[in-house]
Amino acid sequence: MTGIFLCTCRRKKDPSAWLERAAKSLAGIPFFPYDAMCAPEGIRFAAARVKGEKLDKLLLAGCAALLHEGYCERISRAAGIPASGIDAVVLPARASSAEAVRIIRRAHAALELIPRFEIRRVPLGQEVLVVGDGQVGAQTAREVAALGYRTTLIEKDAPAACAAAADVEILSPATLASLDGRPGAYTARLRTSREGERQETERVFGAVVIAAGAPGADTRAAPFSPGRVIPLADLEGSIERQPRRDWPRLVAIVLDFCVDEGRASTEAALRSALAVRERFRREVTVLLRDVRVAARGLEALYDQARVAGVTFVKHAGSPRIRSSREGVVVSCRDTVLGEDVEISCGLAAVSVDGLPACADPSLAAAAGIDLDAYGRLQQNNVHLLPELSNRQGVFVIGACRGEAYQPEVLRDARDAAFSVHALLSQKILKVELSHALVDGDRCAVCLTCVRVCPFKAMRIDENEKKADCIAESCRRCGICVGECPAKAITLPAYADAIVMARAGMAERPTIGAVGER
Amino acid sequence: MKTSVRAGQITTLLCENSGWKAYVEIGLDPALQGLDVQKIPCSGRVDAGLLLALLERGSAGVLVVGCPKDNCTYLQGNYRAEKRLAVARAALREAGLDENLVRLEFLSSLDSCRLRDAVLDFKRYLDDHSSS
Repeated sequence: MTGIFLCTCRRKKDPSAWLERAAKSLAGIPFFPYDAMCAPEGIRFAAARVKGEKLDKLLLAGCAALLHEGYCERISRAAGIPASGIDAVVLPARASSAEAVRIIRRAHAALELIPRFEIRRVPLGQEVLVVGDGQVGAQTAREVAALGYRTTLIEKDAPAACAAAADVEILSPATLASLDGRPGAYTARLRTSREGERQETERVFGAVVIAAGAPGADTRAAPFSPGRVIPLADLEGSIERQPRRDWPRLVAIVLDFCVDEGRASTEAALRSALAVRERFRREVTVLLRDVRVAARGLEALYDQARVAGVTFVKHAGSPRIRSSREGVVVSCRDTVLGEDVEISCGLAAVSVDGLPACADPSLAAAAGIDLDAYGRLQQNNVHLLPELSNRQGVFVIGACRGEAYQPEVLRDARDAAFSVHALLSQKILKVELSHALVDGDRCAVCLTCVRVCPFKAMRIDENEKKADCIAESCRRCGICVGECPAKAITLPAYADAIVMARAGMAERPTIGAVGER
Repeated sequence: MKTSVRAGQITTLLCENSGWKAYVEIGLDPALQGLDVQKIPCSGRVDAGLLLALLERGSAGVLVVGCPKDNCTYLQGNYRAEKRLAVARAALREAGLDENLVRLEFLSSLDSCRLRDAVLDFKRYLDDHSSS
């Protein structure tokens, strides 16, 4: 039974006749006017009535405060009714009783169409897989293991570079071949090779942390040329070895060659530029899109470089680098001057991180993680920062995500461990079964929903020969509903019929069958 | 003869992560009184069928509001909505109707004033283009 709670806080001057008329029109529906419905007393009032009258859904009507964030959730907790069974509508301040009743009736009709959802309790596995490379992977595995989870670390290259903690199982060399299933029980196919023999094993993990590095770009291909255009990392080596007389008059350091880089590259460039400038008294020009100094000590390092006489050029797009026997010419658009500039130098150092192809696409495909515009793991979306991914229970940190600044990565490793803990320490995940439902008679198994679901919640049920939604992975966004060409998918809490009812159009005639769902 | 469109005839489908929050902040604004406001989980939920069904059943126009690009809570929803709106527009065009009866806006949960402006602008457009 749905109960209607009317907040009359803005209707103190209204004659009681208004309420009487409204109550009469709503005869048969439990109707409770209360003058402080939008206040904490209202929450207690509603909770008491729900118990007394055995209501299972609530419609709140009245002032705009009822819509405020968290209010319906508080009523939901106090009255023990799921949030999907509570709706709120605002009545215009001067609405007549007939108008108010019309608005209430529409919302009531829509609410009646929302089914009662069952709650499924699914156990969460307490084992964690860390897909790592080197120090970051080992650190992440240590952090996760320290929180009390059985941790497995897989590394692509044998043998494991860093010894993780004693209670971490290390598989090396091993790669992730695929990752299926739901949060709390991901099935990972691990490909290991022992004594030249390839083996595949299937293991189940509650959560997965990807802390992989980025494969370095090819330093033999363009724009590199030996001795003239070198990787930035090699410049650091030259500073240690090369005598002063061998240094050219001008050295250029190019960052953000193609892809925006992070603080790690800025720090490396600043340190090298300062060393060349101060030790060998050579001119240094640093070309970059933005100086990224949002970390401890970087701003001071930048100031130091400026004081020492390092020149900074902000460029747009991609610089062009031409090298010949006479030297190297770097040309780019200077965004400060608004002109094209050419810098002739004896040596150019290009940061490898600025070249495209920064993440391992096979890892992304195996783990079901999206790539951003630069080909790095995890989409460039603020809701995912710093460690979340498009799959719940799968976390991404480190250079494969484009963050190579060491202090930041180690902090992200701890963040990821805490996120794993926040998910798995619940032991049992309560899932409301309001996820997308697929009508098997309409489903043509076209795979559209599998392709468009950002959260990898759709899969094909081989037995039923239809698409199927994993309730634990589904975020109830309805993208699959909008995309399904056969109109086979419904989101029960936001079905077309509910939208129509709320708009007061349910009873109006229509020509086609659209809007049937 | 041109007739004025009542606010109640415009259907607004608001993404509950952006447009709906913006509406909650400014719901009492006189310009928005009586507007048919609907909360949807994500702008990606809309499909051409729903938009056309709403128009068919008497909506003067449908305004869909989603999160700014690359800021969708569900990662892709607003891009999907853009494609779905294009399909609905094409269908309207093919039927010889005004394709601008459906409109998509991207705004954040703090853009209450932009939401109001979007509704008013849409209402003005519908007022100018509605026939009696």
